[in-house]
Amino acid sequence: MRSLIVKYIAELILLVTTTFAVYLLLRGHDEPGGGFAAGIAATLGILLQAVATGFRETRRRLEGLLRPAWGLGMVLAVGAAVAHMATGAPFFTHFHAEATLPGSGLTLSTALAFDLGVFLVVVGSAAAAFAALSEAARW
Amino acid sequence: MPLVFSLIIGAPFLVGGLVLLVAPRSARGAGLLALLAPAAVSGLGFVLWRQVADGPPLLVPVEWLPALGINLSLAADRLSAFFVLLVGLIGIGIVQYARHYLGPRASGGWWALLLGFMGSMLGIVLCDSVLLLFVFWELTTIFSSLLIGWSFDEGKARHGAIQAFLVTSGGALFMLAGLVLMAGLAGSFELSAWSARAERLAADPRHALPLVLILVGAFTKSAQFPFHFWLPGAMAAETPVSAYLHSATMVKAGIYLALRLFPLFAASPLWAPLLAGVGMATFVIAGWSALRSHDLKEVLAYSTSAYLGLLIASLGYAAGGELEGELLNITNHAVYKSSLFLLVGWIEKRTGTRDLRTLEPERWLLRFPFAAALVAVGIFAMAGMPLLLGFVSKELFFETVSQAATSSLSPGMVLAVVGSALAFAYSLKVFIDIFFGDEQPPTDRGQPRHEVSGWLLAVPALLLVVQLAGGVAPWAIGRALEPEHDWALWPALWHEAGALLAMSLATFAAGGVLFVFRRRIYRVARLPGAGHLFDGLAHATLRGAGRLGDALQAGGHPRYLAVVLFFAVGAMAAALFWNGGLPAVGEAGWGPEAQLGWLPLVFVGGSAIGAVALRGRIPKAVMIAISGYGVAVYYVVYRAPDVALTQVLVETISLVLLVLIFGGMPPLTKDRRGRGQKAWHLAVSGLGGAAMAVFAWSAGLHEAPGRAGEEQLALGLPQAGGKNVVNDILVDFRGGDTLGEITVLAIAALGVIALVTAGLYRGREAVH
Repeated sequence: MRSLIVKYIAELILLVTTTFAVYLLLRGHDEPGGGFAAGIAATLGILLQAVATGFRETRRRLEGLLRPAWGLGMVLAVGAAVAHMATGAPFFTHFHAEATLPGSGLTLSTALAFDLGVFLVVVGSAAAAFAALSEAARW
Repeated sequence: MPLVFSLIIGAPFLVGGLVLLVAPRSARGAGLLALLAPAAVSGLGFVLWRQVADGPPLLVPVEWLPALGINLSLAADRLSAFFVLLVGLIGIGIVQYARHYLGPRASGGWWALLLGFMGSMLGIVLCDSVLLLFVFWELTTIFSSLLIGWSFDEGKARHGAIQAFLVTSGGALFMLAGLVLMAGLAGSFELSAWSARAERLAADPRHALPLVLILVGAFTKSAQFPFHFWLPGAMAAETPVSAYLHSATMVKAGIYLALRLFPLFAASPLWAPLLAGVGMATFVIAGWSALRSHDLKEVLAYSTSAYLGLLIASLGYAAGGELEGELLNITNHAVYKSSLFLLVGWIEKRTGTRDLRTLEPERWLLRFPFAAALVAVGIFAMAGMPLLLGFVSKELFFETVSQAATSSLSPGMVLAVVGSALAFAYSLKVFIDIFFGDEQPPTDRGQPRHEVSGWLLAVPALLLVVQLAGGVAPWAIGRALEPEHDWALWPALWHEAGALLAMSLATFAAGGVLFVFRRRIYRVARLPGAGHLFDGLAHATLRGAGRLGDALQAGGHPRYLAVVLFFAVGAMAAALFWNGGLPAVGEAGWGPEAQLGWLPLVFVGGSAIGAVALRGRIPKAVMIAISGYGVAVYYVVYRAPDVALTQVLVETISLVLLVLIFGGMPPLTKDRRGRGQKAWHLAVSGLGGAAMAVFAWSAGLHEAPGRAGEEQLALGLPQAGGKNVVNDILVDFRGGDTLGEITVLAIAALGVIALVTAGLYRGREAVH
């Protein structure tokens, strides 16, 4: 199972799934996709990595990146939800920028920030749960 | 003015956060910083008082969910400002005392909890929105129980904290139900709107249930009978916390709420009997318990409960007439009770005990004339002796009760005298036992300290000045607090020769008799009270939950599946049944792409059969995944690309997980189930499958009455600025739901970590 070929393919797959996840996240506002789907896609890449190289190795490499993810995600999501309250608008009023990012067709908005929060919470929670379970099962 | 509101509520929380940062570096700095919060609150409280004391109430509307009518509005009137000042000024004394009482034991966490408690109490008194009030109400519950259980290595502290938490938060749940029902009746979640419609509300017979529910919340918080047992348990807290909790915060929250509701519901036929009944019962029963207690803090705790009964009862008796002197009564109690608690702290430091039976016999307190004088003044105030504010307060109570009486001797007047006589008797007992105690030689006590900070006496001394001033010149304090009343210029020697004087004299006489026969009263058998009932109930609940858990989670897969399927199928079948059964199969066809409908069916059906037929775990998992992909094809056919995408991703991740788990498991062995077991499993799975098929079928035939989907499609781009309406709904229209869901997800992950690591820890313990 732990052959070099599998290892390198898993590496490649991680790159592809993560790119795909970001793609899903960014297009979510106008096309099928969004934070939840992107979160699952990214988690899928992490799991495949774990299949190829083992949980311990995956954990060693990605833990620093994933550990703060869900906390950061909750902060982003709640922040996006309350940001506009500062100007007296009710809870969950989104702010949409007028301009779009050149060359991408992407409009910046607090809705996107909220979706990014959803993404981070999904990836972070899943990774944390898998890490705990793998520890228990001594994978 | 909105700034003053947010500063008053925010200052304690802000300072609490800063104290957490400072405390590891300098304990002294942390204490000094903590002092800043009540000082700021008091200063701002004076500003607020000047604004609202004579004018109309201030309203600060803050929108939160305007579509649901749920807002975070704040409001302040004289009552609010009075409580802000009470919490702030007594808070200064408590923090200053705690700095010298606890010394290095006061960690940053303890200060932060105390200040958070203060901030939550301030939140309660400054809310207009009843939902915000509930939030702050529960925050005081949480902070106070954490403070009570701060020395969590002591069983008593844990028990007291859990009991206080369960009783007051349980009562708060009743209150929440009452608040929501009342809001439905009044058409608003705002107290200001309720009072605008007060007459209509009190005349509507439907207000009875919500009112009773709300009052249950107030009664549990204020330790009223039969919920009074949590208060003595709460004395496990550090002395400054007890003093604060008993005087200006926590128990006073219930009184505050009752005072808020008084102008709204005093006209209700329920109000007078309910408040007078509960309050009088508490006044007498808690007074009786106080007389029988020997721990100084326990005596004071029961006495608090009794005095709160007096406050509640006088609200009940005042229903027909005018409410007079309630703020004066609250001030009286806050001042004498906090100073007595603080003095008990000093006594405990000095002697190592607070048990009345083990205090030194040789009149030790007389060696400290200043402390002795303070203790005496505090106890005299508790007894309601003349020339002190306590006397004025008792007279006002007698006046309220006798004004409500229809005859010259009403049951209320008798109970008022009995309760006051009990108060006089236990005060006398405490006085005699502290000053001239000679019962038993000291046993089992802590180490007495000889270096005790002067602040431990200075703070109660400053508080007791109010008692003396109020006793000699009650009009001075009365006019400041309630200028609309006509305060006579009498010193507190007697009120007027007549019924009131007779009641006072009867109180002293009966109290004296009770005191003389106190040893007989100690020997009266203790009845099993509500406290025992509560502990039994809590124990039985935990045991029942354990049994239920064992029954549902027997540790075997078949049982889990059967339970889950049973409830899922049962719930859906019930829903189907109540909605009129299966719709008739009629016009509903296959939908627009009916000609392609059969194709995924081959995948779904074929792989389902394969999952049963194939041997080996991994092939089965793959078959299940293929079946799922087939369903995803359906989603594409019926133009739900978002759902299809999610389905594919979830199916894939499940497959990978299953492969990963199955990889580490031994191969499947031969089927060793018996015939009966096989039939049972077949029945459960067959029934589950059939039920799901029926539900899917009926869902397809269901004709939705409204067309919410089209509306959302039309609104998506203009309002949320996104072309993908599914995403618009998720992040914008129903963003609150999504926020809730990811919170659940995060909590579930934490739960997994907690469960798994707990298991690992236990495993390790077993190895050792």
